[in-house]
Amino acid sequence: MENKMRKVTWSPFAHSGNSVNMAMLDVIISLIPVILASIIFFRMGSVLVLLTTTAAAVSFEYISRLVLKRYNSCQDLSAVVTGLILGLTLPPSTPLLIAILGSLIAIVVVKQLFGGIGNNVFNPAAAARAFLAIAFSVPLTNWVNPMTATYVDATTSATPLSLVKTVMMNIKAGDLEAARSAYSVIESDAVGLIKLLFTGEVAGSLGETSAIAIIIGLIYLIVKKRIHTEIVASYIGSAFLVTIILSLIYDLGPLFPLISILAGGLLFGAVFMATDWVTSPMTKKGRIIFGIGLGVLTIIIRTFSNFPEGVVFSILIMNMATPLIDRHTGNRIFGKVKVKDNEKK
Amino acid sequence: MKKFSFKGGIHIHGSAEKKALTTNSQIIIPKDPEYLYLPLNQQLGRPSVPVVAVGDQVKAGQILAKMDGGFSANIHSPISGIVEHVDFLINEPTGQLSKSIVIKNDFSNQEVEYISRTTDEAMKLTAKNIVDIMEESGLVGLGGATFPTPIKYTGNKKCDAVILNGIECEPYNTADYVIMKNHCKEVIRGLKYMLIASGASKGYICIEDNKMDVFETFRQTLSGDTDIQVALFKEKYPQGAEKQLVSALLNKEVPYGGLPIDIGVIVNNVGTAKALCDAVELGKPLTHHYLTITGNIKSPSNYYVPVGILFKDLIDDEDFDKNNVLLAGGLMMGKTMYTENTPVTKGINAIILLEDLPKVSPELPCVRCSSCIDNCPAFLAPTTLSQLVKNNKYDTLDEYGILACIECGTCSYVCPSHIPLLDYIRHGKLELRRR
Repeated sequence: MENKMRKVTWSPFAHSGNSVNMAMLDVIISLIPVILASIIFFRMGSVLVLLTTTAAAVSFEYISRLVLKRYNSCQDLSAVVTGLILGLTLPPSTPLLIAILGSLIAIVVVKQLFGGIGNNVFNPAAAARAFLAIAFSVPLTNWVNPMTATYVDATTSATPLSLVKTVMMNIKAGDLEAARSAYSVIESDAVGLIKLLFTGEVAGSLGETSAIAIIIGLIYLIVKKRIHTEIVASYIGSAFLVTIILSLIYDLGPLFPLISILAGGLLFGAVFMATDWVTSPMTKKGRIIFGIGLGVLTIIIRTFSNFPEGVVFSILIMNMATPLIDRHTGNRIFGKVKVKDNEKK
Repeated sequence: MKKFSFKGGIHIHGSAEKKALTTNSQIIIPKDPEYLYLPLNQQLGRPSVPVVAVGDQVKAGQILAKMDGGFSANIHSPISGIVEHVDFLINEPTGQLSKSIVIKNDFSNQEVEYISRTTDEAMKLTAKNIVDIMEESGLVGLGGATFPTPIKYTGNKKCDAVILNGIECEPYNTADYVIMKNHCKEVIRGLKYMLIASGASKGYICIEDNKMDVFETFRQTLSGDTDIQVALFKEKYPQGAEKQLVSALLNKEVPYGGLPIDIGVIVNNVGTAKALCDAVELGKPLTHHYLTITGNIKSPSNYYVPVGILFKDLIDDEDFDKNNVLLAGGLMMGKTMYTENTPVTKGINAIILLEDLPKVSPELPCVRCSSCIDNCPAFLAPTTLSQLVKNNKYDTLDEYGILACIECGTCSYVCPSHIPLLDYIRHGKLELRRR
């Protein structure tokens, strides 16, 4: 019989079929409820901002890969995810040029200059959002009332987070009376506010307002096993604990912790930004430490800084700590007795 | 009922359907071929030394090559015939060229006189007797590793338990299932001889929950037996890996770089137990064993084959022609063969023909999704190890525990970036060993 040359390679000879762009597609699908909620509440403002950031992110990804002479990485969909998440962290009244600049920072500076997907130190969307928050603090705090406002005649409006911030500011200033009176504004209709925070009919950034939409996305990601729930749980849990302690110390009533978790971008950041694979630790232990760090830092920044929001800053700080966490939270190897670091030779 | 399981591991897509190809098939005993090729290097350890010369007439069951020191095994002739070569180079299923003894079948079916024993006589044998029988009959681990069995039973370390591995977690393989289904009593008696040989008081038979029928058979057969326990395991890959099996069953870990005997345990395959039973009771050396032939072929089935039969004598030319990939071993841990002129050795328990390799897109950067870490049964960080190998940092590999890797392929299987993580780890292990 004539010898047929066969294909030769190494085991295993099977693959799960899992791929990066399937994972990214799942993230995009999980963002759909949030996107829909933002379109319902903010109409054209949402559509324009999201389209701009996403289109810009994909274009910058394409151009920078071309300039850097690397393979075209647009089909892995990570640029779409970055664009969407960046867009969802912006207010509906964001000037489109600023949105484009945000995509430029996210994709070119934070992601591609570090080597593209898998090599970025910071979460691109979080880094770009932080940059925009610092550089364009005035246009990006132009909040719009949901349902009523159109993109053209945006009126400045108070967000639930700014109410929380007023309480926090007074705590920081040491004026407890003022803090309590500021809180009484919230408390007068706390249940109503919590309801609004769940449905999302409040002023705020596009994606962060509707807790229900975010939770639907979270459930989808959990079902598809695309998310490390340890981060979400330890982030929200530790932030919750810290605010409980604050509200006990300053006697702010039982609903304050819940309101401060639901207000602002904490939920959105915990589900869609902190859990970014590339910039979070790789072991369960590490992810729990990461989440606790995020929760504590977020509340510290919210309480003691001049910025109303601490989510993106805390994510960036913990991104920096990720290699360190990874180094010291490696799994115990099968059959090895754990050796303490200082006993290693 | 309690189901044992280990930490990590995966479920392989379509595992049940792949096993179903051959679970209910008849056991085929192929026609003896004209030539048998018996590699001298069939066992882990040193190659055996031929004791026959070219032109000698040999009978079935006659010894052809003797073990070279302790870490080796005897090789016997499965058929009667004439020795044509003693140093014929042939592609072994491990992928190496190995010297082999070639026997031309004379179809006279002469056998040597086997020393048979009744079960009662056999039960009175001493540990030394049984280890001698293991050595005589050329017994090696039939789970695939071909570790010479007597080595496990000689040594100064105390043994508390013998574990029979009937897990068979490879997606296509069903040879162990067939052994357990058809030879339940022989397997149990084999385990009893192992208990005698090891001095252990407790025996376990481990079966995965996708083989409930054999589990029930064993449980009924063993009802009232206090020494031997049948343990049920959750279906998961790689449940059959020795160290993972021990940790799941006894909640004790084999030390890093150690063997199960270091924690007082001996693990053997169910096929080895059956072979030991044959060796003790019938006096038959290890010359035949069970083999699954499956994949993209006309009639997948289980075979009872002589050691040394070529793959091409077992499978139709038509099946060979339509498939491009020939695997010896298993889908996850086997090896590809470039030619069908490869003999079945003691360690091969499946031959799989596939139309093509899985289509996997090129390697992309690691996105640190940590699926490889979360699923690694040895608790390693395959992506970190592969980075170290890529950057030639071989000296730090040991610190990251590379030797705990059992090469199960879980990491490569789950990687969404299609990084051949196991290939990097294998390369790192090789480099580390060379230094």
